[in-house]
Amino acid sequence: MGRMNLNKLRALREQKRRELGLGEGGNNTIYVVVGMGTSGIAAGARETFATLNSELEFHELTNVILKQTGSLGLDHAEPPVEVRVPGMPSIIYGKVDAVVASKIVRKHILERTLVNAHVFDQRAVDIVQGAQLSGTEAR
Amino acid sequence: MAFQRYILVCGGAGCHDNASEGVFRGFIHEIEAKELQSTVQVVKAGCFGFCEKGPVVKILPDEKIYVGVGVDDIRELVSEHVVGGRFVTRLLYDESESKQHVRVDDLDFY
Repeated sequence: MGRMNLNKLRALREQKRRELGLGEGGNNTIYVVVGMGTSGIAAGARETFATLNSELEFHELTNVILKQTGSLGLDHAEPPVEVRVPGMPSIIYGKVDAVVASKIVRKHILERTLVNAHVFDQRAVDIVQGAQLSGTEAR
Repeated sequence: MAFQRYILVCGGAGCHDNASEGVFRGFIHEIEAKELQSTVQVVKAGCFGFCEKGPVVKILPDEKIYVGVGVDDIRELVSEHVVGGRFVTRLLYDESESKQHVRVDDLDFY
């Protein structure tokens, strides 16, 4: 590949994004991220990931990207799963075993309702920002 | 059709001891009384880390945390925040209460 000007590079980026379903036409993409740090894996994150994978396949949900990541810092609520559905607030679930994982797919992704008793949300954004700005801890 | 707002009521051990179960049921009752159950979901959540200030209630997507919420505050929170879109400032978490930690760089001594 020879030299490429900026416009060609932008066009190539948009083409690749579309191929990945992340471009402007890919706004319906749902992300499900499993926190798979060592403590998450010890608490059964592999089983959670496998259940999510099989549930997504069972319901033929092709617009969902299932990913694994490192620890989300919720060691008291392992394994954690973050779900980002367009039009809904980003939610982190904690203590997600196989039963809760299938509930997340059926209730949160298909019915757009939150799964009761497993929401382990982070502190509010304004408090975190305020803490960073003033150099203090929020609690 | 997704809900427009979510009311997260902390169900952690600390808030549970501070009668958050009654607050959770109270919110469900108030939402049903105002016939908002198709637009607002009340959810019991895990610990937010503000156990000292419990019961803690977080309203999404506005990202507002209300602390020390009692059963008597439910009607005001629903009518003001959920219906009216106005925050109930007397119950909002106050950042100024947190302890100030001064960095070494900020000390005049050095």
